[in-house]
Parts: sequence; C-alpha cells; structure tokens
Amino acid sequence: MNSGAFRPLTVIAPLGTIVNAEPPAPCGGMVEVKYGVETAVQGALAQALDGKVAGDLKGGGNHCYVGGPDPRSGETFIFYEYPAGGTGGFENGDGSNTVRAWTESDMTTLQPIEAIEQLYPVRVEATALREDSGGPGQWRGGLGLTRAVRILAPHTRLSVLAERAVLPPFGVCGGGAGATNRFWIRRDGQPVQPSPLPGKVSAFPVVEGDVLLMESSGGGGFGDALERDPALVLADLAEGYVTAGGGGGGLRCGAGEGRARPCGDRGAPGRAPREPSPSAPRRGG
Amino acid sequence: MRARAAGPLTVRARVAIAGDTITVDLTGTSPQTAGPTNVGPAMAPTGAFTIVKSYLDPGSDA
Repeated sequence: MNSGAFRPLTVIAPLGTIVNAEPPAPCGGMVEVKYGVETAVQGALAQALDGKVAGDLKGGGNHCYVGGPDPRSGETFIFYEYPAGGTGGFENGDGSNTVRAWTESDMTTLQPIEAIEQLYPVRVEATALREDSGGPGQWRGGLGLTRAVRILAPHTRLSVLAERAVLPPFGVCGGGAGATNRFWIRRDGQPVQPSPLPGKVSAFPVVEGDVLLMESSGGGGFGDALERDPALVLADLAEGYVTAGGGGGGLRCGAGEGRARPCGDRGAPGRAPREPSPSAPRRGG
Repeated sequence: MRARAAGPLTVRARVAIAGDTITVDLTGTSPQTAGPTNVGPAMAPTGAFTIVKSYLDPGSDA
C-alpha cells in the first residue's frame, strides 16, 4: 500500500471537533474516536453494499491500569492491560472470540500470567471466554473475555479508558448487540462500580485484596437469531459459548431497543440482548 | 478549550460515492472535549480508509 491508495478518498473532518481537535486538546482516547469514525463510515457505506457488513466491535482500546508502590521493592509499578474483545458476525460467519479486531494493529492484548505475577504485586485468578457476550444472530458475534486480577498491594489506584461500556456493540441486519464492556472491582465478594460513568475511571482507590474484573465486549451479531442453524446453537451450548438462560448467541433474540444500523435493503434493525449478568455492579468506594 | 460535553459524543458521517471517488464528510460531529476523547488530524482519514479498503477491496495489497 502507498499514498496513491488514499487518492480516491476525501475525508472532511472539521477542525475543533473530536475527529480533528485543535491543540492543546488531550488525545489519549484516540483509539476510541478512531473506532467511532470507523463505525459511522461502516454504517453509511453499508447502505451501498446490500448488507455486506459486519457487526460492531468493542469500540476502543480498553485501557486498564493499576498502579502504585510495590510493597516488595518500594518502586512504583503500573500494571497495564488492554483486553481484546469479540469481532462482529458477518454473512456466513460467526465473529472471532477475543482477538484484536481487524481495524487494529497486530498487537498483544494480555500479558503472560507467569510474567506479570513476577513483575507486579497481582495474582491472576481467572482468564476465560465471557459466556453469552456475543451478539445473537444468524451469525453470532464473537465472545469477549473475562480476566480477574487480585491486587496484592495497598495504596494502588485503578484507571480505565474504554468505550462501549454504556452503548453495546450493535448488531446488523437484524442481529443483536454484543455485551457491553465492563470493568469493575469485587471487594469482599461484592461488586463495586469504580465510577459513575462505566468505562471511564480515574484513579479509583483500590483496597488490598480487591479483585479487578475486566470483561470485554462481544461482537455484534448478523441476521435474525431465529434463523440460526440449530446445530450451531447446540455446538455453542456444548462449548459453553452460550448458556441456556443467558440470552446470548442465538438462543433467543433478546429484548429492548438495539442500536439499529441500516443494512442495504434488508433494513432490519439490530436488537440488544438482555444483560447476561446476575447483578449489575453497584457504585461504591 | 471547549466545555465538557453533557451527553454522548457523536461521530456523524455522510459518505458520498461519485464515479471513482468517495467523500466522507464528518460535519456534525461533536465539538472537541476537555477530556481525552479527541484525535488529531490523522485518525479520521486512517479510520475511514480502513473501512473503505476492508469492505471494497479486502484482497489486494494496495
């Protein structure tokens, strides 16, 4: 690829907007805005492509940081991970589980447990595919992941910069939305929401022994979940990708308003699944 | 520096195809914010190109 590839494309990005900010605007959320541009362009282009489109993605970098003094050395540490999520379902294919999305660079997502448990005062207690997180559809969205990390140091703080923590990754052509990104703390077995705005956390004080839960989005689904091949639904159940009552991945369409996107002449709006979690994290701290 | 936004931020795109050219017009997108949800001049063309390339010409190198 060279600059000539850009020649047929003109992009008008008005100065002073989030897509072309003037200095000294902070731009730490650049990945999140880039996803926004991609999503909007995809939605518009889909109208010209007769449904040749895929469900939405996790919508940002999912930056998670825990930092503070390491009691073993007194040195300051920063534990930083950016969990991958599911990609969207598309015509004739389910989304992929927990991979860097096709709009991202080829970068890592999680660090090896053996390494981080030596480097930082943390213990990784779970890393798993997040069941029921893929958007329902004839072609299911890929699953996000769940990572549980216990913090073994006093006086640390958590910051998160993520999108799609309120509005889920939408489905297309009648597919349902994937689960939202969720980042929260489990303290003494109870959920604690570290900020009033999900996905945006700034220096939340972590208590030693807290468990950081990083739950990334699944991708949006493609097509009506009732059209899904029953054999695929059974395979999803056998793999644990979906649960019998969880509302994910094609067992049922789900309820509520989705984030509809036009889809050529198919035109059916997306639908959001029910949140699969038994209880939403509460505000605390 | 602009005031903090009170609601969700919007990226608005109008895609026009004319002959062998595509114009992506992001007019109507939310004003820049005091927080970190902004990009400089490079990301919008990059994001738009990623989508156009991926959907219209996924196979070739250029």
